[in-house]
Amino acid sequence: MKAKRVKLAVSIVGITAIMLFESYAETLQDKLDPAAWGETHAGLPRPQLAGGDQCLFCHRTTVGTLWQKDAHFLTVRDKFQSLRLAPEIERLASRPEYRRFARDVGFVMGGRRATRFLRRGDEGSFEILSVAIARDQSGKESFSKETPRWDKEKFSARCIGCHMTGVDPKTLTAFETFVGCEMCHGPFNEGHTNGSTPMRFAKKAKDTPAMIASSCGQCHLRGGRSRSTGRPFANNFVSGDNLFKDFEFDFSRADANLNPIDLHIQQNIRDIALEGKTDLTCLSCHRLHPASAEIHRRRLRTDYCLICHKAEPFKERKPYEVHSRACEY
Amino acid sequence: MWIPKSIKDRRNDVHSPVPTEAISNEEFYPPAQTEDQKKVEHLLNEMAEKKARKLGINRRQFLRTSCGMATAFVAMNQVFGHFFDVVEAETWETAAYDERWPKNQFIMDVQTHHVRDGIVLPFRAFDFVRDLGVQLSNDKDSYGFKNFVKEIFLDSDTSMCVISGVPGKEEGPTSVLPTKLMAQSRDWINQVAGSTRVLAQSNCAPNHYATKQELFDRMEFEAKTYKHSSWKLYPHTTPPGSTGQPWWLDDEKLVYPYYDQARKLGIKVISVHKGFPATGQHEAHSHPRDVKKAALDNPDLTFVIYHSAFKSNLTTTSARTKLDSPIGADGAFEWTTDFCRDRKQNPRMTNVYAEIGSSFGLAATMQPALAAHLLGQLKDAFGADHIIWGTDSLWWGSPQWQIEAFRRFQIPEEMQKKFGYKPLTPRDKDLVLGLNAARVYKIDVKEKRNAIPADYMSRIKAAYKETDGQPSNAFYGWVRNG
Repeated sequence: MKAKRVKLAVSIVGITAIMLFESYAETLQDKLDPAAWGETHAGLPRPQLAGGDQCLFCHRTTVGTLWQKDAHFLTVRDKFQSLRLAPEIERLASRPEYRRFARDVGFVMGGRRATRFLRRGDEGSFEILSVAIARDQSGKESFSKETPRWDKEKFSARCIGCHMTGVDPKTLTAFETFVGCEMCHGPFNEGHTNGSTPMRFAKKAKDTPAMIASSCGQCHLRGGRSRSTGRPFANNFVSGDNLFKDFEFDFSRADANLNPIDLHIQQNIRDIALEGKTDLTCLSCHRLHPASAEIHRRRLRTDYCLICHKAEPFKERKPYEVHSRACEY
Repeated sequence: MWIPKSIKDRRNDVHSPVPTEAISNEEFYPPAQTEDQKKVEHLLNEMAEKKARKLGINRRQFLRTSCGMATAFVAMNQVFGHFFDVVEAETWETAAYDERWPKNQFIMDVQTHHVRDGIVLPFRAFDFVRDLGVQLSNDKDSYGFKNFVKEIFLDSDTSMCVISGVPGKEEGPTSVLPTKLMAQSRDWINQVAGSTRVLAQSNCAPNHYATKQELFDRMEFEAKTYKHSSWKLYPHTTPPGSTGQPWWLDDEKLVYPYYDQARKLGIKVISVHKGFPATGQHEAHSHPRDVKKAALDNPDLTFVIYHSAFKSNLTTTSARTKLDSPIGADGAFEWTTDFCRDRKQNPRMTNVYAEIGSSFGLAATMQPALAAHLLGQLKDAFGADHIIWGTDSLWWGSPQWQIEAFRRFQIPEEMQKKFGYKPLTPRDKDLVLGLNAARVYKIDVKEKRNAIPADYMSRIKAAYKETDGQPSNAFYGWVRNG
């Protein structure tokens, strides 16, 4: 009798194990290899860029009128904004212990949740001030507690890839000190002026959802790492490339207890890159030039909505705070 | 859409010797023709028609004479108020003009441009621009070297000029006016003239090279090979092949080493574009706020601030004819007033000069009161001995109309009283038109006054006039089409 029971138990455990294994194998089969398509520029020289000035000469009446206030243009901005010194620098200078550092600030980075300060280093590099301004949900500001000093390594090692355009993989210097046109639209090609070779994200461009996910994900997918450099930003990514050929990201974290901003990005890119879904991309809900997420209101409700919205009443948003280990706030 | 003014004029049978519309040098959006400018154009046509008939010539011929030019200023006075010193006799007799105005005035224009022969500026080569209906073959010739010589030296009183750099790197297949070409054009004209009529600049700027060594090597190469007289800098531009980053004149890390190298090479005139924030993304870097520190920290260098930091925000309302005046109640306007304030607060900024290319021309033809504020404030802050003549020709066609506009220009007494401006004296005009630039570029004016009338360029000009050579009254810059 006892032997029969043991046999039954072993059989149940065995069958359960087989079922679990089959289920796991099925799951594995369903997942796509995110690195299977497209190209990468990792390891190649930085492509030749023309710079946004060239773009805005022709696009002056459309993007040109909005560009000065565009969040991408303002990722890292000059110390003078709207012809006056950036207010963040004035606030830094208002503290006697930071005053002498404020005098050296050449650029301001970030804004809504944290502000950091940069100055030029040697040979095109940038140094970042250890002291930052942090803002909580109510907009209340506080200075971080670090001893003020200019860090020569940190910005190049951690931030430059997503805050500046055309980062040279060897020298870690940037072509433009902000997120410029060519970061998303790809390097300038003259063919786009006659429609023969549209720039990425142009109306005529045939951008696949995977390309869109890669382009936006190069910066907005926070927490990944370049395999070739080990740095927390993509290595020489060119819009149209497959980000995941060189950029590794642990998508299992997309189900973790993340803030809604990072979570909805990670889930969407996971669904496109691993599940092959094509019905929803960043551009389904977000518009740029002018930046707006207004169209997301017109989308049919999906599970994505519940990342930010309450189930009932739906119009109410869940309270949340955004923190990022990658960006240190 | 934009169209060269000369083509629009040809189409509309307009032959005015003074532009009747704001012409863009491609550094600002051309505003629409204002109601007042339309009135000037209409009035000038009527007056010219009558006068030409009485003189037995056609309107077009009349407008190419000094009488036609004088008539244009009469028309402008009637519409804008009395800003230009012109008498009725000048509109009838060439002799009356000759009698009133100086003949041997030394005029040195520090802002002239032409483009590489056969080249059309890069954006014009794009298909969508070709579709505008612009005749590009004429266009490229208009900006070319031959026309440059004709418009500057045969059709104007200019004695000497500086071929001034344009945004872009100093060499390369897409360079519109590379340093090498400026030097070649200078050498060609000077050799033909048999005297020094032209100086040249270099386009080499602090953000053109990734490393200091590359930059220093290039500066040295330019100085030794092309022997230019000044550096021409555009802090707000990031041409292809550059570091892609705009910069400030007072950036000790990036730009002060550049000054050291310029000093070492013995070329200490730093010409800087300020104002006219162009169509790019770094407008703030066109503001003159950085001039003060750079000039005070480098007293042995001479800073010539092009356009006098004039922002040129002359715009028209949606009705497209009414001018939105940029002048405040106190006479302040962007950004020249800021520039003047810095100068007044820093008496040691004597190594800074204000250049008025395009600023004066645009203001004088669109809103002469603004030109009065411009000159009144510059004279007050910098002194007449620190204002430098430039015209931004060829964009504005031959510089002659600007020379005449400046010779005749006066700040109205009412404005002098209200804003405390001093009148422009004949001595001021001599200084501005040439003597100041001569001092900056170390030109011996006395020696020039003797050499120029006898040189070959003067002889060619005399022959040109004898064979009935006439000004084209063509303006090659851009206006709105419609």
